[in-house]
Amino acid sequence: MTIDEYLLRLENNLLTGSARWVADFTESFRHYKIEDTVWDMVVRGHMRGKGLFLSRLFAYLSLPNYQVACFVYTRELGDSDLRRMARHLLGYMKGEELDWCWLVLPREGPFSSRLQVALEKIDYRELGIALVNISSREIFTNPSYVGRRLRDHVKCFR
Amino acid sequence: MKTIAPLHIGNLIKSLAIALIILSLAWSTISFLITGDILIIPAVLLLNLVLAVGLGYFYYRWRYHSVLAYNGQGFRLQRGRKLTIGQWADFYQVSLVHLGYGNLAVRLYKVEGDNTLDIPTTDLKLDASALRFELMDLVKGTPPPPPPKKPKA
Repeated sequence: MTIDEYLLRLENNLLTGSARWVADFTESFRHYKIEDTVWDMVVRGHMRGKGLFLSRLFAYLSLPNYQVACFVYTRELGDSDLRRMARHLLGYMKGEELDWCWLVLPREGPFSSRLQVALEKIDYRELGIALVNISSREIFTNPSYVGRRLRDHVKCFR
Repeated sequence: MKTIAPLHIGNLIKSLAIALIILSLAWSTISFLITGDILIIPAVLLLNLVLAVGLGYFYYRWRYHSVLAYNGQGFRLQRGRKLTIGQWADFYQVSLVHLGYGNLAVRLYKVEGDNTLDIPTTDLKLDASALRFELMDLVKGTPPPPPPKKPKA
């Protein structure tokens, strides 16, 4: 599987697949530029689903309307780049009033052990990060709750 | 110009069902008002069905039928009775949108104003992702709008 094929599957999974159990991801942008970073994919959404009659009423009464997003970046990253990117994203989230975010970093090959150690130390509760090795189908996530939930939804290799 | 104008069976069936329900309700009301009872006559049911096919098809053309024609410069999108004609240079960004119930669309962002335009790819029976990439290439040269000016203090 190539990176492009994985991105298509991930996008499909976010918009119409299993990720809809977590949030209603509605809009996907490719090659989306934010300041000086070009993201391969940015998917925006919210947590209050629409539905019909009863499900809409239930969602309105019981679910918080959190604004959420999923960012995907496929270029090479070092451990310091990862920390910088996480801080950059947190700043962007504040500006855009996003309540939580996923950051997915897929690549065809293994990640360095330094990057994995750096990932384990990133514990912002509103940010989930996943390193996805498409070749071996290994997934590493940061220890926050949002990060642990991300694992099931980036596992779209088939 | 490349033209796409498929017949969307799902929307057509929905239109026929709406027409049949309205006709059946109308017949039930009329027969109840005249005779005090809801009459079930096979010939009337058959007539309702025939009328529903005609009315449903008309409603489908009026409300749902989508036609997209485009080339390298611009496009012509018809959704029911609403016609939109535009140039790719009027737009600067393209996204893929899930409208709900599995319906996907390609959204175009206009340079002027906060307007967007949705191309209903599911109704047009198009591959939403492929069309999105094709349109991204067509609007590539358009610069994004300038940021809004801050109001004077």
